[in-house]
Parts: sequence; C-alpha cells; structure tokens
Amino acid sequence: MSAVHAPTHDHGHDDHHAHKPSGIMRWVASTNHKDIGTMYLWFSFAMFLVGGVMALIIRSELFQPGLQIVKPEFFNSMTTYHGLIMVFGAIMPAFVGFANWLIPMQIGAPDMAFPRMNNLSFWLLPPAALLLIAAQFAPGGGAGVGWTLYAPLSTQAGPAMDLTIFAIHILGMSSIMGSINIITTILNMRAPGMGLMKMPLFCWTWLITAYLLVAVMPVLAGAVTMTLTDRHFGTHFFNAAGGGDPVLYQHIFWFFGHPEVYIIAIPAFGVVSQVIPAFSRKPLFGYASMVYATASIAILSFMVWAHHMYTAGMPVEAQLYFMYATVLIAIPTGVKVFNWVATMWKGSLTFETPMLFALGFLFLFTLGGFTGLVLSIVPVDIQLHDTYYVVAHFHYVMVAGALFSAFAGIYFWLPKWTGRMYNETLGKWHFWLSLVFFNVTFFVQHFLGLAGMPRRIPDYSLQFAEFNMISSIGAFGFGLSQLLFLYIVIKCITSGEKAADRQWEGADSLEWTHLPSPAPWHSFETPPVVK
Amino acid sequence: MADKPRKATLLQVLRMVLSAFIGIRKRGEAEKIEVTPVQVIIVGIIAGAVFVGTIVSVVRFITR
Repeated sequence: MSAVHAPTHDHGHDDHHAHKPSGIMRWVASTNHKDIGTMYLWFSFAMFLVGGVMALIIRSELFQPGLQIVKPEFFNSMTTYHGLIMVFGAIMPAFVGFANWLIPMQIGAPDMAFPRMNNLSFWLLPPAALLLIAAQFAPGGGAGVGWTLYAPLSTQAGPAMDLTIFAIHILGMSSIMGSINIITTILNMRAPGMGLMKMPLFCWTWLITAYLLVAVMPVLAGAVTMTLTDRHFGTHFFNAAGGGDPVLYQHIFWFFGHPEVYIIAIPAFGVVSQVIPAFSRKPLFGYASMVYATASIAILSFMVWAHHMYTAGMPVEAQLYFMYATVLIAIPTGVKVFNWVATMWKGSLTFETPMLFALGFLFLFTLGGFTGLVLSIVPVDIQLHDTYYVVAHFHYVMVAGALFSAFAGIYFWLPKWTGRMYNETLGKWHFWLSLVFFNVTFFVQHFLGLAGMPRRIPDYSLQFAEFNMISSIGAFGFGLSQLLFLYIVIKCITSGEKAADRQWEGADSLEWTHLPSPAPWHSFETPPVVK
Repeated sequence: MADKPRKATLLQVLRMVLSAFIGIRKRGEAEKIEVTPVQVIIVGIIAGAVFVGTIVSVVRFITR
C-alpha cells in the first residue's frame, strides 16, 4: 500500500496505457471489466427482448377468451421460458453488468480480481441462452412446466427439459464464478483508505448478493440434477411410487427461489441508493442502517421459503412459522424505504430520468412489497395461490422493482460509460410511457386474481374478459416503449452531447470524482487515496 | 479517526447482530468497535437459531 498517488482530473492520463485490442477478439478474449460489463448489459437487453416477445405472445392469446393464436402446449412453454429467460437471462446478467462496470471504479481498483474467470462467466451465458431457445424446437416443443420446474411435471416432460436443465447448470456456474469474483474484488482490492463502511452502498449490496448467490445456486443445481437423474438414471427423488416425494422438489427449489428474489432485488436497492442521494444532493440517510438492513434481509430470506408452498400440504404449525417469519422481513425492508424517503426529505430535488425511474421504483416496489405481505398471510394465500394476484405481485417486484432500478442505473451511468448524454426529453418519455403502461398491464391483474383467475392458463371464463383485454393493451404499450429505450441508448452512444466528468453534481463516488467521462479503458492503475 | 476502534465484547457483537436483524444502526456505533468475521458468524448463527426458536415456540404456544 505504498502507492499514494492521487489522480485528479488529468484527462487522458490513463489513455496512454489503453492499448485496446481491436475487432471481434477485443470482446471474445476480453479480460477488461468495462468491456465485459458492456457485454453483460447488451446480452441482458437482447434476452429482455426475447423474453418480452414471449410475454407478448402470452398476452396476445389472453387478449380475448377462447383459443385464437397459439396451442395450449406452446402457451405453457411460453410462460415457462418467459420466466426463465427474464430471471436468469435478463435481470441477473443486467445487474452483473453493473457490478462489472462499477465495482472496480467505485472501490478504486484497476479491474476485477479474476479477469479471465470474468471472461468465462460471461461467455457461458450465450450458450445457455441458446439452449433455452433451442428447447422450443426439441421434439414435443418447449417444456411447459412453469419456470419453477416442479416435479412430477418436469420428470415427465420431453427432451426440451434436458436442454433446460443443462442451461440452468451453465447459468449457475456463471453466477457462482461471477460472485466469487465480486466477493474477492471487494474484500481484497479496495483502494487505501476505502474501508468497508466507506464503500458506496451499491458495492455493499453486491457483496451481500454475491454471498447469497454462492449459497443458493448450488441448491438449484442440486434440484435440477436430481430431476435429471430421476428422468434418466432410475432414481426416485421426486417419485412417490419409488419412495420419493414431489414436495421435496418444492422445498429444495424454494430454498433457492426465495433468496433468488433478493438476489434480484438487493442490487436494485444498491442502484437506487446511489441515484436518490445524487438527485437529492444529500448523503444517503442512515448509511449504516442500510448496510445492516440489507444483511438482515439476506439472512431472513433463507428462513421463509415455504411461504411459496402453503397449499402443497404442510402442518398448521409450519404454516404459522413461515407466515410469522415472512411478515418480519417487512421490518428491514421498511427501514430501507423510510431511509430513501428520509434521504429526499428537505433535499434539493431535481427529477432527471434516473431519479424518475428511482422514484417509480420506490412507489411500485413498495406496492409489490405490500401485496407480498398480503400473500404471506396463510388463509389469504390459500385463496390467492396460483392466481393472477400472485402474477401481479411478483411483476411489481421484478419489473417495477428490478427493471425500473436497472433503467435508473443505465440512465445514471450512461454519461460515465459512453462519455455522452442521452436525450433527457426522450428519457422522460420512456419513463412515463413505461410507468403508465406497466400499471395498465399489471394493476388490473390484482383484480383478476382476487376474482379467481388462475395463472398459466391459455383460456379463461368470460367474466375475466375486460381486465384481460386492458392488461394485454398495456403489455403491448410497455413492450413498444422499450424500443424507445433502445433508440435512446443508441442515439446517446452515436451522437449524444458530450457529458461532463461529473455529469450529476450530487454524485460523489469515485467514478464521478476521480475519472473522466467516458471512463478510460484502464482506470485506477495506481489506486486513489480515499480520505 | 480520533480513537482507534476497540476490540468488541460479546455483548457488543450481540448488539450489532441484533441491530442487523432489525436493520437499524447508528453509524457512530458501527465505527466504535472492531469485530472479526468469526465473532459475527458465531454470534449470528446462534442469534439466528434463537430467532427461529422463538417463532417456533410462539407457534407451539398458539397451537397448543
């Protein structure tokens, strides 16, 4: 730690070292955290479009009662792969992309700890995505088993299931390697003076998320491997006739699945915790509390998994236990929401696009959290289990929570990544269109669920017709609005106005205060000194 | 930093873990003490077990 050189705003200083390889090999063989971060983000956007098209196929079929457009088997396959692709292909890689770009810059490190493993983590993703897409063309079509891959459906499904299992293995390996990289980078490569409790909250949320990933991805791998051996190698883990138990699968899956919810949500909390203080021009309220609350949410997330399976059959004692434990998660989550609100309190607020998306996140994620509390109550859940109420609930958490936060982060850091500004007017259009159409799509689904419409059905009774039509119109509006986002990003990269080094004067992490825009290919080769 | 953080006592580690459970902690308090990962893990696991045990006994009490 003898290097105490403090790089100030010497533009281009780092550029001398940037011997960028050119052509395709720059990307294929990349060990640069920024290039890999970029690839992660573009990959996740591509998967977002693929999963989005699947969602629109679902909503087209549900536009009217009756079967008009697709066969029920294909519909089931769409619900399954829409879920898998959005969770594993779009949202998770998007936040890993953020982690790659930002963690080294925010802690003052030159790169990730294991740059070659970083390359492998990324390049495992495209084959996995291809497997998930190829599964649609397997004999018998895609596996229509739902994204949870419950046994015994999954043990009986066609060959597409094997491709899906293999894809999940690969995705899991990628996530675990990515997490090891993130943990090692944060623990070992912080600049002198950058104590753990001085890190930007985004780094903290990723440190905690990475531990969650290392803990639960092997559990999912185990679950799908047991499915695989049940299918092909004569085991009976989930086969009651052979002494196994299909409910065992649900326990194992949700022991992974519930922390997975937080694996998606916690980095989103991190992004919002960077954006809200910047546009409130105040430091984050209750930084230490935020760190502790995040850790608390992570720990509690391991103790509540069976609230997903109240109707699978369990003793009333177990139902009560999981209900109480689930309700308790509202406490640390509430602490976070109050801290974000307190950060804005008496701040000099401005409402540029990143702040709008962060506020959209705050409102709608809180709403999604509340419907989650409703669902945690056992007698209510027994009514609402597997209805559209659940679909509405988790889309508020996943789309208005994670996706809006990712949009906030992309608009926030685009100037730093590209050196150019996006078009603010178009950005605001993107926000308002997304906000309105999101609610048109999903708010009415609460009513559908309360009225008893089951999820994962291609046809429904007539009394659900109006709300389904409204929801489908909203879905197409939401989908088309995302093409505007693509246009905004491409226009920003190609012809945006030059961005300032510290584009947002309220942003105070190292990438804004110590690095030019765009951030040079190699940054912090000599670590900055943090006071 | 004026005074160096002191090694934490068991009670202080417990306080820290419990504040993590609710998610509320003063920054000053967090910086006053120095804890090792081993301390946190041991106290954390025990506190986690007590937490689960408490809920289980509440459930037992109610369903008696």
